[in-house]
Amino acid sequence: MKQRWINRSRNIICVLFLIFVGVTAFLNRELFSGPLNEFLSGEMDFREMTEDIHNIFTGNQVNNRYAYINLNGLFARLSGRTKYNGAQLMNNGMLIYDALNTPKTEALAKGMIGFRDDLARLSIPFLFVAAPYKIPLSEDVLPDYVSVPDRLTNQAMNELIGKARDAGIKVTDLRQELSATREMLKRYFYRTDQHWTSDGAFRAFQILMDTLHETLPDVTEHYTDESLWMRNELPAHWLGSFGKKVGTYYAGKDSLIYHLPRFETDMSFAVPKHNRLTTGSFEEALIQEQYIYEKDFFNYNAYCVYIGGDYPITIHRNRRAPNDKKILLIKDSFMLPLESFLSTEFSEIIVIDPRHYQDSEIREYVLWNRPDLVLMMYNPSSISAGEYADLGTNAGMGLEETLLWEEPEVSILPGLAGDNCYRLPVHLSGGKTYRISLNQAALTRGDTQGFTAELYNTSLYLNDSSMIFDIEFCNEHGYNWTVKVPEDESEHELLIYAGMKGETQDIGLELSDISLYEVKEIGLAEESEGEKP
Amino acid sequence: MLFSSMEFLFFFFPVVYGVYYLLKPGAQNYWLLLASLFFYAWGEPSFVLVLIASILINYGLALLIERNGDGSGKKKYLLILDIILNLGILFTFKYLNFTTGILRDLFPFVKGVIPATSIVLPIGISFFTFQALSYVIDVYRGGKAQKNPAYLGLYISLFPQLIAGPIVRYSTISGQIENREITFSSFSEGAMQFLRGLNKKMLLANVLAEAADRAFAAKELSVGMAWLGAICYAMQIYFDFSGYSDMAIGLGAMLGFRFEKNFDYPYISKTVTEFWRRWHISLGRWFRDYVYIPLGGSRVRSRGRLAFNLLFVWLLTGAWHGAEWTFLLWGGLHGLVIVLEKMLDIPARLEPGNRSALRGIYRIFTALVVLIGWVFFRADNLQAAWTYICAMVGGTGNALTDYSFEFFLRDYAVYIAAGILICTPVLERLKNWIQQKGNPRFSVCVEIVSDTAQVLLFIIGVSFLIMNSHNPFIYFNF
Repeated sequence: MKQRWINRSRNIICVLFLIFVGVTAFLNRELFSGPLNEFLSGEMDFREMTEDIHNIFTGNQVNNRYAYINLNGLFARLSGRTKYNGAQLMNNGMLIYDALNTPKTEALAKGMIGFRDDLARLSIPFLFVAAPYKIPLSEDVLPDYVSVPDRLTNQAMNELIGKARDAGIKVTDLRQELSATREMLKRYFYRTDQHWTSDGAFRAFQILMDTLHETLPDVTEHYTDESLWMRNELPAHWLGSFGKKVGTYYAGKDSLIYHLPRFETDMSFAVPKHNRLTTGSFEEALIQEQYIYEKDFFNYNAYCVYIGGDYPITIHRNRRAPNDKKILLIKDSFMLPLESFLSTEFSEIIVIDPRHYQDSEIREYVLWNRPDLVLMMYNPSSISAGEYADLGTNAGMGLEETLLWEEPEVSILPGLAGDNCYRLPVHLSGGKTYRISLNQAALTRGDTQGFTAELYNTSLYLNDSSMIFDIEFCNEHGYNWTVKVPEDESEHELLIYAGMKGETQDIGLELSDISLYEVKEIGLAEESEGEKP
Repeated sequence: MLFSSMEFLFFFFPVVYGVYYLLKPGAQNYWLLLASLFFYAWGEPSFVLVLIASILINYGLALLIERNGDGSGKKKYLLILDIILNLGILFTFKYLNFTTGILRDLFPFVKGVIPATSIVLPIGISFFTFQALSYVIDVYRGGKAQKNPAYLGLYISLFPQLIAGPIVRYSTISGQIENREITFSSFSEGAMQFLRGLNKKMLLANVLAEAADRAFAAKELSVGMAWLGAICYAMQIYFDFSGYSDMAIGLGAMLGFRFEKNFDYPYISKTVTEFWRRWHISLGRWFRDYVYIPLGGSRVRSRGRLAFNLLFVWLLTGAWHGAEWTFLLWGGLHGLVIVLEKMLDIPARLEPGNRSALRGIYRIFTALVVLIGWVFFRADNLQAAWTYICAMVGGTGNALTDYSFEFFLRDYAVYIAAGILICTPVLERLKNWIQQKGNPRFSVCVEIVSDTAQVLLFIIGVSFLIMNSHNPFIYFNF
C-alpha cells in the first residue's frame, strides 16, 4: 500500500518533470529548428549545425532566460555565495566589481600633469575631481577573504591625488563628502550598480559650483539650492550593471532617482556620433523618458536616464545660462547626471569620454576650442583603465591658420532628399586640420532646430566625424568646427546639411560668411597672428 | 553532446524519447541506433566512422568465432585478431601520440623516422572498445553471437552509456535488446535516477570544480588551499562520474534497459581494495574478468606472481584512464597499496570485532591514498603533481592559509558540506530507516519531498546551464 502511494506520487512528479521539459522544449523550438532546417536543406553541414545549436542554447536567446537568471541568483544567495558571476556582495548588502585590474596611477598622473602643463601655456584653468567610490574611506565593507588588490582602489586614488597636488593641480576630492562612511554610500550610491544616485551627483554639483567659483571668480551659482529642483524616486524600478548579472533576488532591486528643475530652462543637447539633437526644457533635452515610464530589469540601464549613455563627445548648449562660459569636461560614466546639472549653469559644456573619443587627441581639441576651464573627473575604479591616461602627447601649443576659401553667402535650397547638403569646394588632404566658421544660419524654408556638418569619407562612404549646430545658440555665440582629416588613402569632403542629416526634406538654409581655414599647430615660440579669434 | 546541456535536455531527450514511445516495438531499436549514432556524431561527426568500424569489426569477428567453435585453432586466432584490432584502434587514437613522444625524447636519432603525431582522441573510445571486446571474448567463451548487426550496434553504441559508461556486458543486455518491458513506475524511477545524477553533476561537480581548478592552477598555493583543492577535486570527480553513471542508468531505465550500478559510495571504503569494489565497478569487473583472472587471479602459486598480477592490472587501469605518466603513477599507487593489503591480509584484520583503532587509522590511510592519487590524476604532469603534494605538507615554504582558501571555504561552504554528506550513504540509510520503521504516511511524504526536491534542483540546474556555468565532464577524456 505504502509502495503503491510512493509509486503513484513518483509518477505524478515524473509527469510534472516531463511537462516542464516538454514545455521548455516547445517554447525554445525555434532555437534548434532553424539550424536543423538549414542542415536539411544543405545550407549547413552537420558540424556547423551542432555548433550553431550549441551556441544558440548557451547564448542569450533561451526563452524565459531572465527568470532563470533570477532563480540562479536566488539560489546563489541562499547558498551563501558572496562573489558571483562578476559581482561581489559587500558586508553592507551592496554590489561591487568582483575584481579590478592593477591601478595605473603612474600613467594617469603623468598624462594629467602633462595635460595641465599644456593648458597652463594657454592660460586655461584645470581642475581634477576625484569622484566617490563604493568602498568608503572610513571602513572596509569587503568580506575578509577578498584579495588585497581589490582593496587598493581608494589608495590608488589617494596616490593620484597626492601626485596631482604635488604638481600644483587643483583637486576636489568628492569622496570626503560622498563616500567617506557607510551611511553616505547608502544615501548616494545605487545598491546594484557601480554608480552614484542622482542625490550623489546633485551634492557633487553643489560642491563643484563652489570650487568653480574659486577658480573662475565670475562664475556664480544659481541653481544649487535643492528647493529649486523636484526630486523623483521610483522604488524597485531597475537593476544596475551588477544586478543584471545576478538577478533581482540576489541583492534586490534599485529605486530610480532623478531630479527635474522647477525653474525654466531652454537648452539643447547634441550627440554627433548618433546625429542627435534634442532641444527645449531640461526634461525635453536631457531626460530619457523610457527609463522612467518603462521597466525592463535586464535590458534597460536606467542610470542613463540623464542623456542616455556614454558617448565620445556631447555638447550641452544653454540658451538661458547665467554663466556665459565654455567648460570642457573629461570624464568617465559618473559624469552623466553631473554634466546635466552643470548644463543649467553654463552656456556651453562639451563632454569628452577618452574611452570612446577618437576624432583627435584631447589636447588638440582643447587647443582648437579654447574652453574657459577644463575639468577632469574620474572615479577610483577608472584608474585601472588605460584609456583615461591618453590625453595626447606633450608638445608646444599654438595655431597658425591659412584661409583656403570663403563665401559671403551660401544657400542650401530645399529638396526632397534627407541628405540635402552643401559640399565645400575645397580639396582636403589627409593628416591636415581644417576649421569651418560661419557667422549666421537662417532658415529659408521648413523647420529645424539644428544642422549637421560632416567630414565624409567618399572612398568608403562613411562619416569620419561630425558636428551638430544649434541654430538659435550658435547665431548668438558663433559657429566653429575644427576637424582633423584622417591620414589614410581615402578621399574626404566637408558637407553642411540643410538640417539634421537624414531629415533635410523641404528645409532650406542660408549660411552667411562661411570660411574654411587650414590649421597648423606650431610651437609656442612660433605663435603667429593667424590664431583663432 | 553532454547530458547536462540544453541541447540534450530540451532537444535530443524529448525528441528521441517522444518518437521512441510513438514507434512500434519492432522499430524502436532501429530508432535508438540512429539516435545513438547522431548523439555520438554531435561532438565530432568523423568519429562516428570509428564507432561504426568498431561495430562492424566486432560483429564480423564474433560471428566467425562462433562458427569456428568446433575446437579448431581458428577460433583462438580470430579472438587474437579481434583483440589486436580493437586494441590497435585504441592504441592509435589514444596512445600513439604519447608513445611517439616518448620514443622521440628517449632516442633522438629516431626523429627522422618516427614523426611527431597529434591524433585527436575520439570521445568515449576506451568505453566502447572495452564493451566491444567484452562481447567478443564472451562469445569466444561460449556465448551466443548477435546475428543482427543493428542490435549489436545498439549494444555498443547505446547513447546512455556510450561515452562514459558504465561498461555493460552483452549478457546483461542481450535479452533486453530483443524483449524489454517497461511500466510507468519503472520509467519514473529511471527519471528520478537521471535527475539525481544530473543534479550531482550540475550543482555539485561543476561548482566544486571551481575550487579545484583554482587550486591546481595557482602559482602559489597555501597548505589549506592545497588540501581544500584536493578534497574538492575528489568530490568533483566522484559527482561528475557517478552523476554521469546515474544519468546513464536512469536514461536506460526510461527505455526499459536495466544497467547495473557503477558506484557504491566509494569514499566510505575501509581499504583501497574495497574502494575498487565501490568505484567504477564496471571497469573493475572488466579488468578482473578479462585480465586478472586469465593471468591466474588470486589462485597463483607464488605471492610474487600474485603481486605481479595485481600491479599489472592496476597499471593497466591507470593507462586506461589516459596516456600520461600521471595516470600510470596513479594506477601504480593503488596497485602497490592493494598488493600490500593482500600480502598483509589487511581486510581480514579490519573485520568488525577486531581492533577498532586500527580500523580507524587504516580508514584514514585509505582516504589519504585515494586523495593523493587524485592529485596525480588531476595534475598536468608529474612535476606539477609533486609540487602540489609538497604544498599540501608545507614543503614549499608556503603559508598555512591565504585569501583563496578563506574565500572558497566561506563562499562554497554549503556546497562542500553538501558534497561531503552526499558522498556518504547517510541520507539513503536515513530514508531506508524511515521506510522500514517510520509511520507509512511519513514515509510517503519523505519520498514525495525527495522526488520533488530533485525536480526543483533540476530546474535550478537548468538556470546554471543558462548562466554558462563551468560544465565539462572529466571522464569524457577517456
